Amino acid sequence: MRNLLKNSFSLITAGIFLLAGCEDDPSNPVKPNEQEKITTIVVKLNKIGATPGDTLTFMWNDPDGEGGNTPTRIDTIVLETGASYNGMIQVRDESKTPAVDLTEEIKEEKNSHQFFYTFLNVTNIGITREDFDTNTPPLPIGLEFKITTAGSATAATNAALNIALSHYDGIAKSASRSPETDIDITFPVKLMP
Amino acid sequence: MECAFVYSLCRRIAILLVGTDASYLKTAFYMKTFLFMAAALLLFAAQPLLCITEPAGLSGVVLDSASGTPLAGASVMIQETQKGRITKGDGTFIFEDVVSGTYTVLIRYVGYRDFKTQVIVDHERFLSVRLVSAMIQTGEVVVEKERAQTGLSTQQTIILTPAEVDEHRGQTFSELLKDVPGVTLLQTGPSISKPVIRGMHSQRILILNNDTRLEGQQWGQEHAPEIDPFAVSSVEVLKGAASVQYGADAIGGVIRTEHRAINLGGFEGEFSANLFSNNMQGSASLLAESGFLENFSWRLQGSMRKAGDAQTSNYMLANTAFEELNGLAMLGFKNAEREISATVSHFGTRLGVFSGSHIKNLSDLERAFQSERPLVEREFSYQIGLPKQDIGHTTASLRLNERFKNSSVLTLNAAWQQNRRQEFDAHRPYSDSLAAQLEDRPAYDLSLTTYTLDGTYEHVPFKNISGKAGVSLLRQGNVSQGRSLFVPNYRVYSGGAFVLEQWTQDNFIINAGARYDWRGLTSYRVIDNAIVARDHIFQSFSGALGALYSWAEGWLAGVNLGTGWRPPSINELYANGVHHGTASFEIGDTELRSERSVNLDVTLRFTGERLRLDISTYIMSMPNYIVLFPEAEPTLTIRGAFPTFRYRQTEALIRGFEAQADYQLNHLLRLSASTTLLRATDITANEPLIYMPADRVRLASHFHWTENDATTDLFSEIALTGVHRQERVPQGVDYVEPPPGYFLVDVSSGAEFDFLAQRFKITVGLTNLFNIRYRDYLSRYRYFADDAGRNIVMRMTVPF
Repeated sequence: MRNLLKNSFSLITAGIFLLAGCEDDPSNPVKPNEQEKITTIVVKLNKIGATPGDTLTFMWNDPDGEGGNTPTRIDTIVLETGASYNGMIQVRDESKTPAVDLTEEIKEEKNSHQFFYTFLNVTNIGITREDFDTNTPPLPIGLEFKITTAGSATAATNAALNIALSHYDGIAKSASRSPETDIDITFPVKLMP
Repeated sequence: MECAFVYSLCRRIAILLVGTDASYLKTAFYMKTFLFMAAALLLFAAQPLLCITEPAGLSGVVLDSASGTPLAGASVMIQETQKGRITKGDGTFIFEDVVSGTYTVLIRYVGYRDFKTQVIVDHERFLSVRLVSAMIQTGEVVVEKERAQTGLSTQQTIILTPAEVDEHRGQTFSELLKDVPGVTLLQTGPSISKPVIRGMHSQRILILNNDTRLEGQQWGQEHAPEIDPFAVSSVEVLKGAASVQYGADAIGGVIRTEHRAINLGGFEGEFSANLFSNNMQGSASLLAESGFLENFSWRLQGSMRKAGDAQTSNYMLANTAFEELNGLAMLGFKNAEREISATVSHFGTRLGVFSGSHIKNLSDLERAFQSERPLVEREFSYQIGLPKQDIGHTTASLRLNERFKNSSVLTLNAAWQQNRRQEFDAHRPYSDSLAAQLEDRPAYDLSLTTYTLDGTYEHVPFKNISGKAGVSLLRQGNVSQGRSLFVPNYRVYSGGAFVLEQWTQDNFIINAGARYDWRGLTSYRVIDNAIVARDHIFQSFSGALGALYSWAEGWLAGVNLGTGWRPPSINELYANGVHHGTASFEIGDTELRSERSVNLDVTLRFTGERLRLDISTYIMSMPNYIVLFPEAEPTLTIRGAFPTFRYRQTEALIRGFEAQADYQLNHLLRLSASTTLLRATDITANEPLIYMPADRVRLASHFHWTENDATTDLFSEIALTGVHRQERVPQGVDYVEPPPGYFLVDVSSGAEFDFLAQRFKITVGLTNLFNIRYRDYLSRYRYFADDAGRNIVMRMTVPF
């Protein structure tokens, strides 16, 4: 009996170290696959009344995503005073090859997304969102918008346009921003008379 | 323990007489023992007749109560004859030719409490005395149980005995320590608490759980120690650098937990339950243990915990529910020479992280600061939603303690542990369909596997010199599998060896120690689709010199000068990403060097009949202190601008003062007062160091309603804790000003009694009695929400 117990004891202790053999190998790291990266925002503006085909394009680009290098391109949005523009926004993932256009997906999930546009340090300028979702009552989406600048509009040197995308995940979409922000970027703004 | 020793001695005699056959052994053993005892009784009864003309003598041995190590150089005096002896190297003393009679023997040894006893000498009398170290402060005068070797330390050491642990057990392991002077808590809500010793925490404190280094992702400020509060029997806190004995990571201090001692007796068990009203938490633990086949013992223990959302004085903290399931199994062998134990344990917890704290970017953060209430609120719930942490920690360890015939001691501890930490982010993918696909993949998924081997040998005391030497080895691997990468994969090998010697003379003790450590870290990262490995080597010598002096009865002064070191941890080297809990972008520095510290500790202690005083002051100089420093420009990401912090090294100086006084007014009432002060400075920036605990004071009265030797025990305690506003902060670095200071009142009452032949120990208490609204500077949630409100706590322990 004592022998059996003595043997079991050694067996148990050996077993502890055997089972302890399970360990993943750190020398083979797996690159994390951020499937849901947004790296690029493109704002396209068409001046109302101007020659068709004159589309102004402004880009905000951070191709390697969060961390790593800083954003490689942040264009300055140049607007004329006393003018109106039809605008649209494109959301892309350019870290993948080929680049992935995510705008359609956001459009499909319009009831849980909303863009907010805010001009900072600019006077006499307005922006309205033109598209709506299928909520009751309908709330704006913001993939399409309209900018109107008065003749007297002025911009300070730090004038900017902040664009934010709120994601209403598991909560009801409302007119205000959600705690879940997918995009929050700022374009510098310049006005031309 | 003597019982086991005598027991085994009897067994050995029986085996000698009878043979080793088990079953025959049993009956024969009892028979022989009975005869043996009857004979002894007869002889004993006949002693007086035999003794009248025989010369009597008194001899004995003096041992350290904790470890059983003989104490050489202790003074033994028979007060009536004023004759004295000094114990030899093996702790023994002899008085020859003592006339029969009753005597008062007084034994004194520097660093230990004086021992006085009455002895009847009417024949050759042998006295075995165990002295209790005076450097160890306990709530009770007598240390109840035998503990593993702590070594006589010239540094501040505080012990929480099993009774104190039962009375103060909280929701998490670290809460046990919150009233110890010099210790504060770094909390991320009530479910995540980390101990802070003299301003140092996380990877600057070593936690030894049952003699095994606890290796989890302790560099994380929201990563709490993975220890089940119910599995802990006693706790020892060593303040200040203990690098010589414990190696790297002990630069700020050491916290040692101990499990119950091996029980060779019959079946025993304990049921415990704790209830907390603030988050409607229930927790329970069941322990069963027994001895078998004379020298073997087994133990099984399991515990569980379930808590809902916590409440501040004004509102609910959404998503702060948590749950825990832990288990432990132990098999042990113990005889006069050795003690072997094999333990397997698992700690598993899932906890919600306050929804209002995972802020996306700077503008959201500023909205949170302005708001009176948290941005996210919900009804009370036990549901754990996102963001959340899921942690599993498994340990298997084997410990051997061998006492050789020459009374030298060898201790070996081998362990394997695996820590799996998954953190699920509140940030869902922009697209709901994608979110559904990636539903269960955590943002961070870290798997850390560690093998450790520690050995210590205490050599035979040589004249007045006793001491020990030890070796530690470690191998560790970290694998990251989540959606994002905050720290990379790595492999660590480390080794260390030390020697610690102690010299005793009259009222003086001097100890000195030296250690060498080596650590090799290899990180593995994927850069441009190729695996890049990078090696880092860190090494260090540490040393310590200390002295203890006792110039009068009850007085003790100690001085300790020592160095400590700590290699940079993986996040300090390689962090590169958003730390959601603080809405900041953290960047590591692969060129960081090891931290080193030089510390001077001075302690003064007085133990009188009514008054106990414990004062310590210290200064720590750290020329390579690693700190997160803010950058001028925020990091721009698609999700917004994040304040950016970079790890860098600076010269730091930390000074502090701790004092505790206990006064036993009468048998009914004991008053206590304690204070902890700390001054930490970044010398290079000429500013205070950030995130250091504020000064605090604690006053308590403890009423002991029953007589000391009654079988029932009833006590009450009221305590007032005052925490000053932390005014020493660097300018322009933190998002908001430190919160105001606050006072908290805690009351508790407990009783120990027998009911229907069953022992019960019950305590009922209220913390934050007046439901004060406050925020502690070391609370990670202080940007977003208040700290917890009133909490009614009920603790019950039923031993059986």
